[in-house]
This record gives sequence, C-alpha cells and structure tokens, in this order.
Amino acid sequence: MSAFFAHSGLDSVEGWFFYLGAAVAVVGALMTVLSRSPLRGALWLIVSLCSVAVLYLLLGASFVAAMQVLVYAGAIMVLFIFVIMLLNLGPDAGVRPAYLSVAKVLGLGAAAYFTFQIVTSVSGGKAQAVDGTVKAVGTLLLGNYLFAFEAISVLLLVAVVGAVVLGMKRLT
Amino acid sequence: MIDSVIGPTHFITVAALLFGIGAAGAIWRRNALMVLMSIELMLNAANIVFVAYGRQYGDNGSHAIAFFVMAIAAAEAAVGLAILIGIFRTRQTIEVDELDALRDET
Repeated sequence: MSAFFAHSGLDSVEGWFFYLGAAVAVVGALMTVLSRSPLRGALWLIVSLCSVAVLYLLLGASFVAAMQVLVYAGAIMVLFIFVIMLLNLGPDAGVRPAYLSVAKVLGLGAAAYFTFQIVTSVSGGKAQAVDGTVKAVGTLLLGNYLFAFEAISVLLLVAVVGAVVLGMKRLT
Repeated sequence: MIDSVIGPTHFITVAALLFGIGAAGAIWRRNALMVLMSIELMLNAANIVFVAYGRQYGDNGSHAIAFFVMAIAAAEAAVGLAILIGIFRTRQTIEVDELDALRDET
C-alpha cells in the first residue's frame, strides 16, 4: 500500500494537490462541454481554469498562475458571461447528432495513438528548477522576447479596434 | 517539489484530456459560444504542455510563451464575441448549423 502511495506520488503534498487540481480541471472541462445552458458552461469553465492555475503553481510558474486567474478566469470569462447575458440565450439544442464514419474512427484512433506515444516518450531525468517569479519572467519578456512582447501589444490594440468596429451599429 | 514523482507525463496527460474534451466540444456543440469556450480549453491544454516541458528542461522561456498564448486568447475572444454579436443582430441565432450563408448551394 505504501509502495503504491510512493509510486503514484500520493505520499507527498504536491501529489495530493496535483491529483485534486487535475481531477477538478477535467471534471470542470467535461461539465463545460456537457452543460445545456451556456451560462452554466461558462461558470464550470471558470472552475476548470482556476484548477489549471493550481497546476501551474505546482510547476513553479507563479507568474503564469497569477495571469491565469487574472486574465483567463477574470477578464476573458467576464467577457463571455457578459455576451451570454447580452444575447439572453436559453438552454440550447445541445450537441448535434453524432454519426460514426470510417474517417472519424481512423482520426480518433490515430490521435489516441500519437497522444499515447508523446505522453510515454517524455524523457525521464530530474525536473530542473525554473524561476517563475514575476521578476524573472518580466526580465525575460522585456529582454529576449521584447519584439514579441511589443507585437502582442499591437495585436491587442488591433483586436480592441476590431471588436469596437464589429460591435458598432450599422448606420444604413 | 523537484524530487516529486509527479513528472511531466502527469501534466501532459491532463493536458491531453483537456484538449480532447475541448476538441469534442468544438466539434459537437451547436452553440457558437460553447464552441469558443471549447477553443479556450484547448489553448489552456497547450499552455500546460509548454509550462510542463519548461520545467523539465529548466527553461522559463515557456512562461513567456504561455503569457503570449493568453494574450492571443484574449484577443481571439474579444474579436470572436464581437463577431457573434454581429451575427446575432442580423440572424437572431448563433446556432452554428443555421449559419450556412457561405455553403455551396449545389
């Protein structure tokens, strides 16, 4: 029994937090996709995103975890819920009827096979310490990735202008 | 944390599950809003893989990449939702099966 705990990582606090975060993230994602009402789906998605933030903390990425909660679970999901309430959508028709075809079965099989290969081929070896603090990642963003950082800011500006133009009432 | 047996394989398995759920939602849901939310799930799965491999190889550049993915997801959500509002204004529906104006008539 103790060998099982040691093997699965359940003998450490990190192990427990990982399995808790992973389970809540997957269940939240399932409920998002399966819920009839878009609003319930959005709320479940917030649950899933917050548990992914727990996984980021376990990976030592504190900056990414904070951004996950602030940007994803905060800003983006508020936008989604705002639009859901604006459109006043009720429960929808759910999923479209699924029918099986050779292409679907082949595609799913190939995807499952390649996923299995990727997951099992991760080289062992010790995980290395990474510095995920705001200071380290900020230095990186304004150093190595300066051009990408500025390009992202231009992209966000374009997205804001595009969203405003798309949302304007047509003056016809 | 470094000596934990919870390795990249665990995190990538979670990411694969999240990506699969998101892909299934994007394909099978009829509501365009739910399709957008499923796409957010898939972007999240990609982010988990980035950060997990970043720890495996001791490179925190993956944190910067994850940050960029989040910014792009925000831009995509803003523009996508604006398009949805525009579609709803003219067609009174956002069921993806009914939006077939570009479909070949034959």
